[in-house]
Amino acid sequence: MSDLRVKLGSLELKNPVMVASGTFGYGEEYAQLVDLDKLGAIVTKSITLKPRLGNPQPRLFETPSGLLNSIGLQNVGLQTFLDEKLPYLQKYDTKIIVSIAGETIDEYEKLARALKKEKYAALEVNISCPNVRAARKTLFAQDAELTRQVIRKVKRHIKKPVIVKLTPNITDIGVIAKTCEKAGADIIALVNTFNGMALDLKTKKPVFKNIVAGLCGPAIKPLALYKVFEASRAVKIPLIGMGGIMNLQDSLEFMLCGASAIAVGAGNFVDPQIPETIIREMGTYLQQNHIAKISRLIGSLAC
Amino acid sequence: MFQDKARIIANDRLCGNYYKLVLASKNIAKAAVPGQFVNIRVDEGLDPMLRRPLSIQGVSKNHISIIYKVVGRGTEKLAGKKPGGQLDLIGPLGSGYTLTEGSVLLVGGGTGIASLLFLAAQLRQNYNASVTVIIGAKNQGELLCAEEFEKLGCAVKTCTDDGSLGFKGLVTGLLKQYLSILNVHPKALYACGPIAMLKEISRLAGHFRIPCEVSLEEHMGCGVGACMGCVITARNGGYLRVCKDGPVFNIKEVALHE
Repeated sequence: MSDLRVKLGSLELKNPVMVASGTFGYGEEYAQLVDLDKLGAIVTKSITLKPRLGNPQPRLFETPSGLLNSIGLQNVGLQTFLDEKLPYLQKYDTKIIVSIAGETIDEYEKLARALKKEKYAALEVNISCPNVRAARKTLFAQDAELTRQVIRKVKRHIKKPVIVKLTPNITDIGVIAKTCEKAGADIIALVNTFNGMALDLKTKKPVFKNIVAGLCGPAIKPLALYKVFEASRAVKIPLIGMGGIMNLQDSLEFMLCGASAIAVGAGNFVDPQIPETIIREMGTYLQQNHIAKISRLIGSLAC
Repeated sequence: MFQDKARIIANDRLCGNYYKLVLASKNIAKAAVPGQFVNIRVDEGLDPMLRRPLSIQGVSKNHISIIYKVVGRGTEKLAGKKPGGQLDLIGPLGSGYTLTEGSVLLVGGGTGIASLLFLAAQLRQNYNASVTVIIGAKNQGELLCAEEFEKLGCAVKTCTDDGSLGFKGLVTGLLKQYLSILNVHPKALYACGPIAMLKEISRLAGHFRIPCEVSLEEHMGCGVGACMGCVITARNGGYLRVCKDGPVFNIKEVALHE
């Protein structure tokens, strides 16, 4: 029997396959198509203190093997999340990772305080959404000092593992990864979407009102893989790798580069069966290659 | 909601760039109601990557049929599919039309007519409704489904942009003329087609005080309500998801923008 369990510090998963924040709603949307109990973990849509309306249309633009999105963190807000969404997810036999996002350090702290006593496995701190920066020029995850402050404030309240989600839109992701580690982050998740844009030649205007949007999907996989590689060289804390993962091969590549777990994002839109297929094929892969545990592969890149 | 590998029974060109696709999916055929759609993966490749949401035009025991127009890479690939092959589809998705008895009016342009045919079939067969349908197209050659509506016992009125069949002009022109001469207005108005058409129809429905439902089209990410990509502005502020809260909306719920 192949052992798919992985440990990310104190966060233990029955397998390393998760679904990425923003691509899986609050789980319930996919419950008729996906056996949620099979997943290693579900990361919720990022929750903000107050409900967020999100960005005006258009929000999506398809590119070759990719998808530009500018959703703007539309979500039900903390209260509805606690009242309706989290209790629903708690019924399932999978690890629930609650994702939070704020516009200020204070908002992150308030969210952390409110989530202190709730029942879930780990907290993801999304400091890298490219689509809500109207108020500020840079993302938290593009500024080491802000990143440090957010993590410190969140860690003050949360005893569970704290995952920090990073942007790839930075020169050296190793620097910010180290900042996370020093500030007390338990796990780093990477990457969020790459900055991109699209034009409408008829109007000569950008497609998106914010001009910039986030690119996801298989188009970014090689870029994301390298970011994970860079981060794994810089820190010792566990990594969750993501960016265009569509199949077993992609998943194993991220794990070889140092990811202890992986997340399927846009792939869920293409085929909701992808996470379950990867889990099944991962077991077969271990058997066929006489590897006892999937954890043996983590960071085992030969170079 | 099901994910099925459905066998392609037929995939024929109707006229111009319009095609009719028939798929074997017992699950979806059994569960579908008029106004709902299926999200089809056009092939195993990644360009295009996303599924294509297409309205269900009709169901029989084990089959569903769809009318689509080739407009881009996705539908182009779909048009190349041969009977005997398979397509991965998810459905039925979204909300349907509100079914009602009495006298109703259906207005459709282009492929918008597809979901209305499914609606007409249900209204005629299960609600004994008296159904009038206004169908619009560029020209006579591209006018879809008129015979099918007639077979169901609907009163069919046609219009074409070039006047090659029926009223010369837009469906909204014919609709306005038709509503102006009626003594008793229909109990409900259902419409599907381009957004400019739906805007004018919802204006007319308001003017003549007829309850009206429209079926909207939008680019979709997930198709199941998770990604928040396909939203439309709600009348009372905020956004509604076309894939989950719709695609059928009461015109009082939504603000239509071109």
